[in-house]
Parts: sequence; structure tokens; C-alpha cells
Amino acid sequence: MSVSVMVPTLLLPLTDGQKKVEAQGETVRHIIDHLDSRYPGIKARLVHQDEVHRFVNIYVNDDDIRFAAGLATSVAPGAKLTVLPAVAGG
Amino acid sequence: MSRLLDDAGLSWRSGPCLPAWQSLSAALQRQGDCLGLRHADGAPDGPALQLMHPDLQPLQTRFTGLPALPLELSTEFTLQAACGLMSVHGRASGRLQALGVNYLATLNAALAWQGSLAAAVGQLRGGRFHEVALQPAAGALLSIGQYLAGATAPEDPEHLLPGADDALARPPFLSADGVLFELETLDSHPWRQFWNALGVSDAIAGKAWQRFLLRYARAVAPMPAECLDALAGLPLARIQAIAAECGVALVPVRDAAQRQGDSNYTASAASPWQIRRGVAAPAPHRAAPVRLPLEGIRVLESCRRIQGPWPGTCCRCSVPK
Repeated sequence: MSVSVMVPTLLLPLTDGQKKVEAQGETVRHIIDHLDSRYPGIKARLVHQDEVHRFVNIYVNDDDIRFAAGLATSVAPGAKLTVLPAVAGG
Repeated sequence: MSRLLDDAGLSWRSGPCLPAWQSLSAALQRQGDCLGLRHADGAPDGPALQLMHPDLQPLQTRFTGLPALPLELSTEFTLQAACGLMSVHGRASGRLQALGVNYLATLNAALAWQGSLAAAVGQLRGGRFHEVALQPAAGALLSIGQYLAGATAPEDPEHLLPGADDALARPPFLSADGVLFELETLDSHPWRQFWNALGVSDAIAGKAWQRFLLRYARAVAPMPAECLDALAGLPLARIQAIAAECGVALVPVRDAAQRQGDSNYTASAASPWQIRRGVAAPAPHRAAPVRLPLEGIRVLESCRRIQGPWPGTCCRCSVPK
């Protein structure tokens, strides 16, 4: 099954400049693995030791996976997965 | 190359600029003092900042208006209104609202100093940079560039006009004993712990986190009612204790008079810059700059994450004539 992945600006060099790519998988972990097979290096920018990097946020539709099941969060067909770097300050 | 800021040879003066905008002149003065520069007598014949040094040709940054907003009508508030700052600031309060400080005066003074000093460096590198043009309105638009980009994006442009969200359902937060305060964390884990400790579910804490993360990108962060209700039921001391346990920073909102009473206020109000002589760089073997005074210079910058892109943006945007 296919889901849409919204890619942040910082990772566009890894996706040949594509802001939106398609990926396959039933969980966030599977989707990231599939993305890495197509765009090598992207997994290392998102995940370290099976945890999402501290200042990277991943949403399935509007839900932050850290407040669900993390990388094991299930993803329904047609869902949108958004990667969003943390921003703070003033 | 001459080290402009190392000796007392660099002086400046400004014209009787912007009679409707004295705050800009005050900001130029304040920032010139912070740089340790000497203010010279006399004045240019128009709204301009002039730099003078024995090693420099005449150099000035001239302020210019727009046909739709002449310089004579450019005040802090007309610029905030015309350039959209009041709209962006009003996203949170629910109505068009000015920033309560002389934000654009301070910003444009900094841009004027930056442009002038860049042109001076360009001269010392052999370039011909004698006049910098600065539109205060352009400075205003620069300051809200990220919001303009969001509102005019070709895909899914943001529609965040004042009044679109509940003006009361947003930070700063309010405790049961009536204290306004701010929360801050860059990490979702303590955020989740904090709200869980207050009895808020993961699902709601997650929604709040997403909106909180986008607060600085969108200038508004509507919070779920469950979060606000949980805080409104507890005194500040209890909320502070929970925040401390969870690793979330909590800062009560204070007014200017309270801040001025702090023991470190005077020191913090001194010059924000420290300039030290570094190791002498090898003489460059480059041609004199032509298009931009700093072209070819590589800048090493270390800063916090969100502040990082800003100096780079300014460097690219300071384009002397």
C-alpha cells in the first residue's frame, strides 16, 4: 500500500528535490525503510538506534507518532506522513 | 587591510532623518554607541547614515521611501500596518495589533549599520561602494519573510488572518491563581510527561505539541481546551513543580518594570557585542569586489538553530548600490 511522504527542505537533496514522495509500508518504520531503499541516507537523518531523532517530528496525518506507538505506529493506505524539524526560539 | 573597529578613527553622523520617526534616529544612536563609534558633528543633507574614516572614501546609507508610502509618512506604526506586521502579530490576539516596541526602528537601524559597515569593508577590499540604499518598508517585509512565504506558497498557502482562532486559547498560559506564564521545551518527551501529569491524554498532548511546535512558524498556537482547563485548575506553584519534574521550562510573564529591577539588568543592557582581534588572516589574492562588498568572504557562524538563518539572510539582502 502506498502513502504520501512530505519531505522537509533540509532533506530535499536526498529526494532529488521532491517535496512529496510515495512510499510503501504498514508502519512508520517500514515506510522509512522503504524510503531509505529509494533515497539512501534518509533513514540516518530521521532515526538513530531505532528512535526518531530528538528534534525530528513525524506525523501520520495530524498525529505525532511520539504520542502514539512511535516507529511502530500503523499507517493506513492513502495516509500522509509528514516530517517536520523542531523549531523554537524567538 | 585597515581594522575599522579597532581604533578610534571611525566616526558617524546621521541626517535629520525621518522627522516622523525619531525612534530610528534613537536606534542608530544606541547601536552606534554599542559599537563604540564616535558621533561626529554636522549632518548629511537628507535621511542618511554616514561613516567617516581616514581610510574610507565618502560613504553613506540613504533611507528611501516607496511611492505608496513616502518616507515622510513612514512611522513605526504606519510601516507595521502597511507591511503586514500588525496582521501577523494579530493572529494570536484575534485583531490587528501593533508590536508594542519600536521593532522596525531597531531593525532598520541594524540594517543601516550592517549595510554601511559592509560597504566600508568592500571599499577596503578595493571595491567602489559609496552609497547604500535602504527602504524601511523593505526591512519590514524582510522581517516577516517567513510568514509571507507561508501565505503565498504555491501549494497549501496559509490563511491565518486575525480572528481565525480563539484569542484566549493560546499561550501565554494562565494558572488558577491568575499568573500568566510561558512553557518551553524542544523535546516532545518532557512535554508529553508534563501534560500526562496534569491528566491530559496522549492524543490531546500530541495535538498541543504540533501547534506549539508551529508557534514561531505561524505566529499563533491555539491550544486544546483540555490543556488550558488543566492549567487553570492548579496554582502556579504546583504547575512549576510538575514542570520541573518533567524537564519543561516555565517562566512567568513579567512586565518591563519587573525586569528592570533584576540585579543583572544593567549588565544585560550594555553592548551586546564583543569584538576581539583574531589571528591575522593571510592577504587575499582576489580581485576587488564588484557586485557585492562582501562577495567571496566565507563566514563561520555559530548560533542557536532558529537564529542561525537570520544573519545569513541579512548578508544576502544588504545590497549596496
